[in-house]
Amino acid sequence: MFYLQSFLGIYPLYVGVELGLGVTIINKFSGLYGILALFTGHSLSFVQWSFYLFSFFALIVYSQGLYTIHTPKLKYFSLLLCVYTLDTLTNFFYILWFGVEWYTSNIAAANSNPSPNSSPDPNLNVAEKITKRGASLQSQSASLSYEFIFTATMTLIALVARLYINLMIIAFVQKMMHHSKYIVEDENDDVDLNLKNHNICFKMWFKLEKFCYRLCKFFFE
Amino acid sequence: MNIIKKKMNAVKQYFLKDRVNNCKVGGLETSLNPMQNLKALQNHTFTTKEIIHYSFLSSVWIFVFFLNPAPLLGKLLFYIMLCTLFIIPLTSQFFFSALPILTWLGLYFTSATFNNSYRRPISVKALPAVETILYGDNLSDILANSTNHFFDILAWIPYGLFHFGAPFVVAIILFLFGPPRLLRGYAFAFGYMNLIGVIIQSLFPSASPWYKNLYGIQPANYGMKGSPGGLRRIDEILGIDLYSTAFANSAVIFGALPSLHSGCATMEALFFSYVFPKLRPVFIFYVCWLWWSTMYLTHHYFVDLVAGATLSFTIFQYTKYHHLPKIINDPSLVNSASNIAKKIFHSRWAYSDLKYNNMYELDPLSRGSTILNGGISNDLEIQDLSGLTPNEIIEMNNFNNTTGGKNVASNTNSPFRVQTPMTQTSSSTVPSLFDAASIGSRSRSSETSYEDDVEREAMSNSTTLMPSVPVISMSGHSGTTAGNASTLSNSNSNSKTSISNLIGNFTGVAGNNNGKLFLKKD
Repeated sequence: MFYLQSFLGIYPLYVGVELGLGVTIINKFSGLYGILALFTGHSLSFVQWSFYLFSFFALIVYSQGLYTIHTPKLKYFSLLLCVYTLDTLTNFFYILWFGVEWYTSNIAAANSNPSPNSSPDPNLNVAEKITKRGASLQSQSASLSYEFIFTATMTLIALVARLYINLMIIAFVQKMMHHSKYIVEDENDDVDLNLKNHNICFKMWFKLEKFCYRLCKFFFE
Repeated sequence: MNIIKKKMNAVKQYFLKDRVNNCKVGGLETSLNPMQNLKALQNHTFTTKEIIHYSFLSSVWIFVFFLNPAPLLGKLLFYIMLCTLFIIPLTSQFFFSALPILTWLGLYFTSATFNNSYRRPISVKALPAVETILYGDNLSDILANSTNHFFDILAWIPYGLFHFGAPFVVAIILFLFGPPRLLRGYAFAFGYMNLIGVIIQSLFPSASPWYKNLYGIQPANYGMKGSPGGLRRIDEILGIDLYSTAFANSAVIFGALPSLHSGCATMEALFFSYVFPKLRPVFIFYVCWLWWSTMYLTHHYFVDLVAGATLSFTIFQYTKYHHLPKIINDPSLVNSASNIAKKIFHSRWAYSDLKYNNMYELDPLSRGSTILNGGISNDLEIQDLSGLTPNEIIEMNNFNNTTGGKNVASNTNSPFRVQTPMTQTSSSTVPSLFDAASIGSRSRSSETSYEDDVEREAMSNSTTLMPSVPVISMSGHSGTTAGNASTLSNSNSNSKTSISNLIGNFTGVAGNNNGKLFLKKD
């Protein structure tokens, strides 16, 4: 399998992972603001709820990864890789789902009714103050095809960037896996940690990390 | 008067208490002699990055010169004034470093005067569409759904008040409490972020959420006035016209993407987090607060905020690895349990030396960095030397006692005092065009005069051409002082050589080790 060796062919891989995680974290704040809909009375569908909750969970995982990027732990980054890959896969589904919803509610509606929102707010006095700066005012606004290309390009850029970041994280974990410094000597250190004395969340987290580590090991070794 | 004098002395004492004697690294240039800068310029060797940097900014200034509608004589006088400020050492240290910011301001105020026939079409529907597709819903709509006076005031504080003063406050705090030359990095990052932001806004003009609320999705044009959005309610609450007129006559009305409010707040938070890492949650909270208020006041879509923050983060990351000096309590320099690491605020005058971030040294995948006592050490390999015979340890200690004090500065709190020129050459530094003192990557701790600087410049230029020399280091971390870290330079790269033989070839400096003894070898 092909693994990236560097970030943009110039910088060390971890610089790209750091940047990618930071950008993804910024995006994942959408979960926080989506959940705020609870307080504004805006109704959310099940798909939206699942999207925002998963975003919030991913935000926590990625933040910890970004915080420890200079002193990474293989098990944790294995977990991060699994979460990120799952996030990428589900993101394709969400984009498809929300894209279809947006299309049906906007484009289809616009086709059936050419000017649904053409009347400005009646209470507005700003519209009255419009002064002409160009000869053709109509030409100063974007056409429908321009808007569509703009929307499609931005969505595509987001998808391609996500894929590239995912590939960088894969390469990063793969390199850690083969680096003597990050060898996990004892995979079954449950006894050493005395898991029985920890709460259920810690146990689950520990087991999840171990599972992800074994999964990554299976693929990369 | 006495009370004021006492207070002034107390402030001075607070900032200068950790200052190293005769160390000028935290000081400012006071010369008014233009020849000093001209000489530095003459001796300066431009790197490829510098050529790209200055060419880009120059092209923007040429663009501004021809497109700005101001009288030709006025523009010429302005450019001459700028050049004068750049050439006098006292002023150039501020104004030349702020060149990206000045370029952004020049372009921003010129962009308002562009002829409509040259402007790009205004997008009205794309941003809400992208937001819905990427984030599941129109988040700005969700947050602006219900309004009340309490939320209005809460949103106004970061968006309408803090945002405009924050860059200056942040700059002053960074100047006083950050490492020397950090402010230059801040000016670089802040200026470029805004400059690129304005270019994107001009290339892809987009309408804000307030436009959709006022006009729906009807076509926009450049004859339209701006709107204060939710800030109109603040004007109503306060009973004054604070924002309505100002936003109606805004220079950039259709500049939703990217949000420079978000970009500025993120940049400020990133720099503050860099200098005061323990206060990071406070800065993250501030950015989240500003994001919420931006959407609540219908000034930006969430996708604009993400774009602004992404732009900021990208430029900050570049600046961090190319321009920023390490802070005094950087984990790679001091033990996490030391007093220096525990302290949050350090005055700029506490720095006796500057060490810059080097992305290759910090690479966790390289063979040269290892986690050590909670910090990062640039070891090739670490061996526990607890198994050494007493004679070998005594031999090392003797060597340490005879050579260890040579390069140690007087400030016992400074983690920089044990760095040798050899380790300095491995760090990347950021010389300014008019900054003879910072060329190369050498220490600035012992600089004395401009003539010395020029001489050193020649030396540092020659050292940077040297091939990398293997370094052997012994690091001890007592947990209380940072001065235990020491470096031994060795010209022998054979890793199998015995400790005793290696010591015989050492040419550098060794420090004492109170804790566990480690050997770093190349």
